[in-house]
Amino acid sequence: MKSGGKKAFYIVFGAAVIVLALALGAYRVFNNETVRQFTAMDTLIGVSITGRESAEAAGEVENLIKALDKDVYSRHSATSALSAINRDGKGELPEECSEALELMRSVAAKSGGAFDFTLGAVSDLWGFGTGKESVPDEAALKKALEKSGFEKVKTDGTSVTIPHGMILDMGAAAKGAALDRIRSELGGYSVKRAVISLGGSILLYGKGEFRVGIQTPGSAGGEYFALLTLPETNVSTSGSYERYFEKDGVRYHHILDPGTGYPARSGLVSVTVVSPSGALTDILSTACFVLGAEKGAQLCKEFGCEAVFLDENNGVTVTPGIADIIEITDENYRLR
Amino acid sequence: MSYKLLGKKDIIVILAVLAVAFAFLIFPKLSGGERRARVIVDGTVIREINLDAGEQARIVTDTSPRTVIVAGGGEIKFESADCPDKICVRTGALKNNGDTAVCLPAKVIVTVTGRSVDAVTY
Repeated sequence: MKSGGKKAFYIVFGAAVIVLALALGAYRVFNNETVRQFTAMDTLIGVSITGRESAEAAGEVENLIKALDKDVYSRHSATSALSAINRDGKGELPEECSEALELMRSVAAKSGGAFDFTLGAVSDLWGFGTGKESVPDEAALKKALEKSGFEKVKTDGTSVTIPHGMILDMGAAAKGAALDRIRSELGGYSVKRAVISLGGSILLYGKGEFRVGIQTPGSAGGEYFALLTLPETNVSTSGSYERYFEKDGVRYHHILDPGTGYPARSGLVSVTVVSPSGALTDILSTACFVLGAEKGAQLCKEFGCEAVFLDENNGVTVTPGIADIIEITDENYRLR
Repeated sequence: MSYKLLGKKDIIVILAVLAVAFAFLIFPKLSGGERRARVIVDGTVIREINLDAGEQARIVTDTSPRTVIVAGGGEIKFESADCPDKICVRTGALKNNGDTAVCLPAKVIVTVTGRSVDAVTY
């Protein structure tokens, strides 16, 4: 009787170990994490995917980002759709890109021109990111401004026509639009959760909560002054600390005011926008930076997005939907 | 003749060891979070440095432009770089989890791994 009991015990114990091992194995398979970091779109890219097909999905995402950069959005790539339009005065854009263009036009119109995606000639004079930055002379700036103006862009479906001398710059929308494309690609893989960062524009994908920090201006890239607790969505930030140069004690940053051709001075240091549309988060963060906190909040309301505004006195203003999901984590900053 | 192959105490010890082993496998972060720095060139990790162990290193990347990365005393930084704007060098010393410096022209990323947030927007 005793040995029979022992045998039964061993069988049960053995079965339990096998079940545990299978459960552990299954857990590992479905929570397989793939993390990649590389540079593209003139910035730092971070891809973190969890799921059975995380490796395949991560590879696809990396290829997609590089392809979108080279073939569609990059002004530095001679073969991109955007370069063709800037060179020939007209051309075709892939559908999701022409959707982003229409969104940019809509924001430009509703912001009264505070946002404009036709300032390529003006930014080129400043030379941000080239190592040869300088303050342009007034006459050159005026001439370049005359060549800009979003109302002058004509679209017919996916074809775009621009006046001679105008240079389109999709820098304010490219990363967000790419995130929207990535989101739809991820749907084709067995993936539970993903966090994709394209130069600080972020796609949050999957169930559950995500914790996203808002970078502390001037820090070494890991410090944040506020924490947002979010569901699946997109987050983008425009800040004066991202790209700038200093001359004679004055700091010139890359977010230009279309009215003056000079860096926008609205009292803000950064704007963070949250929306289910990646393109909108990207475009609106730029538009709101130029508009300032008050008008920016109104614009966000019109587009159904939420935002966080950081001013030059370390004061933080938020739209109503953010109030319950933000936590200021640096005592040097205050919620207004 | 009856003898005990496995007593109750033995079973409990075995199960406890198995449980702890599974726990470490499922939750790798429990096995001690040491701050590690990673040097990534063109998407590939070329070197990992254990910052908490005070590991010292001097890495000259085989890139154009060239960059020189120095680690020691629990921090890592771009000491010098041949790129035009030297933003990577200006970022300074990296020591906290998530701190990152990038040299875009050289495609070199230096990052301190481990995050308490899913992402930081900037």
